[in-house]
Amino acid sequence: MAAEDPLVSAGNGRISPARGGDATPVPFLEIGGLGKRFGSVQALSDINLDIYCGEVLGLLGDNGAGKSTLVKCISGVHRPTVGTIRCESREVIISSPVVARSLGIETVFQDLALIPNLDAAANLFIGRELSWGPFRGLLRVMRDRAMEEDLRQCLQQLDIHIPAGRMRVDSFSGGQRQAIAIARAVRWKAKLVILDEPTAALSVPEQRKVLSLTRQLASDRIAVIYITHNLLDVLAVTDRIAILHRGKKAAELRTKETNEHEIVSAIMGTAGKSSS
Amino acid sequence: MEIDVVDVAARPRLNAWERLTPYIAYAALVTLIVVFGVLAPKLFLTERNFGVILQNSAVQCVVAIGMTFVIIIGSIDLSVGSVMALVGIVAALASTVVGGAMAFFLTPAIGAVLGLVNGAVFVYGYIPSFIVTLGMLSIARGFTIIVSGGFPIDIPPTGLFPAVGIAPVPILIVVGVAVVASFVLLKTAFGRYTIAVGGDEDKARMLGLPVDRLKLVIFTLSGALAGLGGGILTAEVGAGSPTMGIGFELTAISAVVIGGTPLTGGAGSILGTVVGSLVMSTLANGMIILGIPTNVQIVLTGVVLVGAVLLSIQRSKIHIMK
Ligand SMILES: Nc1ncnc2c1ncn2[C@@H]1O[C@H](COP(=O)(O)OP(=O)(O)OP(=O)(O)O)[C@@H](O)[C@H]1O
Ligand SMILES: [Mg+2]
Repeated sequence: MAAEDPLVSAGNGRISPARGGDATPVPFLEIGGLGKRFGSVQALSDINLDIYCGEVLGLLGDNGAGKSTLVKCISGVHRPTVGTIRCESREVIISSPVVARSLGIETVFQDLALIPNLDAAANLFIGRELSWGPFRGLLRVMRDRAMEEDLRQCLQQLDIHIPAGRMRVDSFSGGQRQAIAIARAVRWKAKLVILDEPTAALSVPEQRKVLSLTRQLASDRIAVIYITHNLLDVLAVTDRIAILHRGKKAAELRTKETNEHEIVSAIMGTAGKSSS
Repeated sequence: MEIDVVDVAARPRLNAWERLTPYIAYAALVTLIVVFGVLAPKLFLTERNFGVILQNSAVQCVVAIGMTFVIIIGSIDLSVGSVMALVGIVAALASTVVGGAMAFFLTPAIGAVLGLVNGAVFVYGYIPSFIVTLGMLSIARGFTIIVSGGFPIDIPPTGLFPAVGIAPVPILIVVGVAVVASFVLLKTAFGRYTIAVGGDEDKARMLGLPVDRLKLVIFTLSGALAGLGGGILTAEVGAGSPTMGIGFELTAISAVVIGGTPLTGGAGSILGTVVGSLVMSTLANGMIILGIPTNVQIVLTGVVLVGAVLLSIQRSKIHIMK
């Protein structure tokens, strides 16, 4: 399935970022030869991918292609079986979600990672609460007012509207929760934000809000990996597209220079074989 | 794109009843006072009797405060009654060696050790807290009988140890414990993570919260407060007794649940538990005053526990009931 089309670089090929005027920017994350095996299932093999700041990378592929597995390797949920990950030119071993976060990688998981019975401010700061006084660790005394004020500014900056007061986040709508998860990534100055099917369960206006937030992340020089099955979203929001097929990278495309047909045939594993 | 997400209606997951549960304790307390006040005004509605109710609720309240943290994370500690008894006996024995005052101050420490064992088996053995603490209920009770030879062991009749049992000292201790516990639950990271673990433990882990350490600390705390409760009760009685605290886990759990902390975890309040403890001791006091036979009282205690859980559990959080 070699690529005749110059825009489709099959297998190990990498292409440089579509945006950013710099001559040759250094990738935030470089994934090299990454493979992941679950028992007898080879979920990923020989994935090479660079991720750049200020760029939205779309990650596409059929159900079971390995998208979630790949981002879980990046966000510390899974350990890759083989391969290397370099973060800002240093080789790193992302052994847990905490390590990922300390590298500036925030993931908005398919199921969100918000604590349902806490309010928005508590979720924004969970694990990193502002505190005062001499105590450290579990006994540190929280500055609730300061955290609420911080949340307010953060929401204002992102133009997110949620109900006032200390409501539990499980009483929010899907879009509002998604927005808080994104706000958390922004608040903690993430360098890479991973969005795994962020619009899957949302109404149309909420989907549009998430798309605009995604673009805003990129314009703040944050790298974004955006997983979706929605081709309209892909064309609207991404700069570059990587397509997985049965655990391998089938294609890497520049969004501006491609079209729906090309994307679909790569997803179906028929790129280069089609006759269009 | 200036899309407002605010117009998409928020959908509160708590139904009206679930939002009322925090107030059950107050309603129950008022109801009980009215009922007993009408049935036995001369005996029940006296300043002295209210003093007795407060004094009797103190030990229950100390133990129930520890239990509150355990229940908020969605676990249970069935061993508190036996821990009280073992700690009481050990403290009574120790008072002849290290002195009464030292023996009393050791009570929370001995309880903490037993609680830490509960927590360690629970966290590292990865078995339900229900089973771990049911085992400890039996183990601690067995040791209590072995160590005591089956008989009560007196503490020194004078000095700090017996003085701790004289009103209003137990009540002052409870107030102190309740204020600190309430502060810890509402204002510290520990309290927030306790509620977070009760809400969704998987996500708490994924977010890097120290879930295992938190569980260890909470079971240690429950053991420590059960130990302190055992110490106070020993001081009140003047002796450690091998039968002390039998069935205490039931009243402690009832107090917590009546206080609005759902058995399903994820929410709770210390003030609620304090009021719930008052409900339980008012109930016990009223039944004694009305001359209800002891065995019927035991039956009613069980009915109250199941009734309280029936009213307060959040069934939406439980997918399968076993
Ligand atoms: N924890 C696991 N244990 C065993 N196999 C797994 C595990 N996680 C994923 N897999 C397998 O790895 C392959 C890739 O799954 P993955 O979840 O990454 O797909 P995906 O591209 O995210 O699909 P979808 O679009 O449906 O979310 C599948 O064959 C899946 O069965
Ligand atoms: Mg997936």
